[in-house]
Amino acid sequence: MLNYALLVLAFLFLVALCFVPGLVELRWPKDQGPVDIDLDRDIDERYFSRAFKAYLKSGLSSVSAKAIPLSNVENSWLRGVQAKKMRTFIHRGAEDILVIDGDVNLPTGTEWPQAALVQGNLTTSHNCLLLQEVSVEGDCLVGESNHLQCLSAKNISLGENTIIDGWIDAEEKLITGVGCEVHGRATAGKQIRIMGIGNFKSLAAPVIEVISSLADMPSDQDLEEEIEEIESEAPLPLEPVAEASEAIAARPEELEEEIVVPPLEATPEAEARPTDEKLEREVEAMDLTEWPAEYDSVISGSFHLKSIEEIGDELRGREGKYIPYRFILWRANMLGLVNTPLTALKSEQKPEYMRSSAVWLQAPTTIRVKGGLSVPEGETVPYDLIIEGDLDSDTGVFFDGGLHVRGTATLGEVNQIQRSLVADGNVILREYTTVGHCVNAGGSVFVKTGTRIGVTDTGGLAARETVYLEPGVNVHGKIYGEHGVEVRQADDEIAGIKSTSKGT
Amino acid sequence: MIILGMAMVVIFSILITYAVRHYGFYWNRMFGKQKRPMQDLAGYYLPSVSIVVPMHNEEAVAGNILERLAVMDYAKENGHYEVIAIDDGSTDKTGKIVDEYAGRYPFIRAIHRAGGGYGKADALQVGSMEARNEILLVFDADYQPSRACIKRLVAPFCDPEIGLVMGRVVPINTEQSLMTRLLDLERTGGYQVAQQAKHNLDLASQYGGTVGGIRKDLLQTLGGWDPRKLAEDTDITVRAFYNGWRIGYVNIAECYEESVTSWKERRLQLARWATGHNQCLLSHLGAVIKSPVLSFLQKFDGILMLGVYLVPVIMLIGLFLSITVYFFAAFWWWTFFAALLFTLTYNNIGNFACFNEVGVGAVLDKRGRVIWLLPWSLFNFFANVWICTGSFVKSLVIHGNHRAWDAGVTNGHANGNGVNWNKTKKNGSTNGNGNGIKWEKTKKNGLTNGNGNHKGKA
Repeated sequence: MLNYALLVLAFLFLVALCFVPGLVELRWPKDQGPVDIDLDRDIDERYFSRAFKAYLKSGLSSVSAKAIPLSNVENSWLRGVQAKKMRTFIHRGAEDILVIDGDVNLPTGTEWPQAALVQGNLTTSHNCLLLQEVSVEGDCLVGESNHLQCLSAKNISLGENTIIDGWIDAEEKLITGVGCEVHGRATAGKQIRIMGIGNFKSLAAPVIEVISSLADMPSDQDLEEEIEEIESEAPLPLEPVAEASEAIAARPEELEEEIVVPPLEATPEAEARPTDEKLEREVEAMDLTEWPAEYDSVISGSFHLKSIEEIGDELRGREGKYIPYRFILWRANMLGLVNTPLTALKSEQKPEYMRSSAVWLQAPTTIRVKGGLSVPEGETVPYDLIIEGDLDSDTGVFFDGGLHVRGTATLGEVNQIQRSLVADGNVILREYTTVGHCVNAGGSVFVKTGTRIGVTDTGGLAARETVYLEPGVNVHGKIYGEHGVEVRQADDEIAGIKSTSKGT
Repeated sequence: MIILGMAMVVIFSILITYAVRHYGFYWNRMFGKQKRPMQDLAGYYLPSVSIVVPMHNEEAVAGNILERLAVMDYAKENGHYEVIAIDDGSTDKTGKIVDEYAGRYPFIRAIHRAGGGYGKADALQVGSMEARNEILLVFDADYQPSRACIKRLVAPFCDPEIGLVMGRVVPINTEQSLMTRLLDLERTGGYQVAQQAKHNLDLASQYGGTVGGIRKDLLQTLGGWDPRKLAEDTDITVRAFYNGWRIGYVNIAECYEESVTSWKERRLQLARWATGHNQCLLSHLGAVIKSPVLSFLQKFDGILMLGVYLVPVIMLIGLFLSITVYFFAAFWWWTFFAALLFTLTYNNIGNFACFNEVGVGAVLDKRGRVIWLLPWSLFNFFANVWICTGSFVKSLVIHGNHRAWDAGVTNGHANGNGVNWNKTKKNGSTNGNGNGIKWEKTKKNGLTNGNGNHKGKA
């Protein structure tokens, strides 16, 4: 009996033992607070530069800053300029910051060991080494083969083969020379221009341009005009690029005629279905004046028999008016023809290039395709597409929606995507392709010359591997590659596609 | 005896499956490739957004959430950003607070429903119909989102396959009681690890009804929020999932919540979740299995996700079976299985996430000391078994009643035809009109005070 009692006691002791650490934490808590969240923090690509400047600003306002006697100045290039040391707190702790009142010209091979604030312009010659952060209130012209830690200025021009170990930020324009490397964020308030080749971690600016040489570089006047144009630009629809197929270019003209859509007859099904105000507004924006009742008959009679394009052609044949495909799908939904959210499309409902694939209408404007898809030249794809394989499109294809591709997305020349392109694998954008919103890839992204991504406030290009850019590319917003952003000449880039891309 | 043995084998298999699932999540979160749904481009895709805040007697916190949403970092011009504050039949000062904010900010709209009080899904349905924008986000009144939260939540919608998004919920009042500390552990494991792992593995991350959102056109395509469901969030998640849509989980879109503080409130909350979840299991299990667009793994995980609140019931049955077999069959090895059963179940549902998940979550949050409290979740475990078993029985009754009710629906509201929900006692106003679906209220004391201050660690 005693043995059993001891056994029970031992068991209870062991059970109780596991509660002891918790008891200690409850009695003398060390981790009782919530997970720390900075509720007031914004998303700010230029955060590091702004934070550094904020440190300097608060330091400058303190009374502890004192001037350095000229005789104590070790660097000859500081003679003749007003300079003082300022002890302030920056992210590393308390540190002496050099404050220079006026312009500075660094001779060849200068080594600058401390963080600094230049209250004029900064010009460096070749092979200078700036070991700490430098903030310049004026413009900054960096010579060839310089090596800097971090730099901020109003306008910055980096000479060839310059390396930045941390961040670089320009209030207005940042121009990087051939062969520059930036291992942190490269940001600018208005524009980044990349000359020729280079390597970056990420770039963020309202406009990011890659140009091949100084000869291609627009003047400041052009830049101002371009920025003004961007700021006043309507977000969407995108202007078709000049080389786009005639079918694409002709579309806006076909929208000129006017039709009006009457309310649907009050059937229980129609009443039960929610209206789509956004599409209604789109239709209103088209200034339509008449919607014949027979349109509904056509849609009702053909929806389960014909493709959306064929229905569109039929409506167009009757009245000679262009009806947006999205609107046909929405109308079908209103008429109760989309009975379930997920509707497998019959062969005759699918466009020719989808006939061999299983296709579902996932929502009135979203199509899911099983397996890969090849879109032939000049096609218009009137819906959002989810492709459970690779996508390969020919020249001049217009995607009037967004794309999600499970595999590799290879877009042909002069393609246009109205919204975003997301791929789990690689993305290859051939010449003169336009993407309305963003591009995001689970692999690498290869962008050929003439490609444009994003408009005004919307845009961006991100990859979980590497982003390869050719000269002639224009991106709005941000470019980010987890393994870096490489700007290459065209011939190198093609080799890159062949060796790196999956499934091509 | 053979039947009993087979039943035990089935129960073990289910529990082991859940355990393996949780270990898979843990492994993925620790060593797998992590997905950040479009977060590299957060702030560069800014669709028009409508934020619905359903409220029912929320005077303690209504001003806080509206203030947070007013200072949100998002372009608010030209109707691009709107906040729809729904005062759903409140009897306190909620309506007045809402009106005050609507007067102060042009992008905040007040909707008063004098005859409201039918529950969150019903209020959401009204808010969704009023919403004018492309993306619909939902926040509960006792939540406190970070300033970049909206930008981060809308970023995944750039992907046309993403139909819903969910952000991370973080309890703010962890210091209040043992209950809040244990719920903090549960949230840590559930969000930091399980939700993120499910997103990584392309499984069904769950839209949790708040700190998240849905495309408005998708909501319409799916037929809107189902006011009959107690867990309208799980319902819309599952419906979207088996129709091919993905749910993006944004771990970095963090939002403080005020969690329940007492065991009584916890019981009410968990009972509602379990009952609602089981409703969804009974309604959607067939659709998940038959879905032509889900892979085998997605279907399998979808089934496990739907059945998660059955695990305590199964465990209880298993425990009874093992005791029965031990005494009647006297096979010594059943004692081993009984112990194994207990351990497995505890591991699975002690916090509705296994210990590894909670531990990894705490480590990722750099809060190692909270792990010391893990064994204390044993109390949660016993409570879960009891509450979930009761809720399972209740959900069976409700499912049967729904069939009768479906025939009697006339205006989209639950009109009381055969539905009996009043078994679940609510703290909020229950007007006793037989609708059955009411606001599930838990006590709030306004800790989410909207000014970013909390007593947490620095």
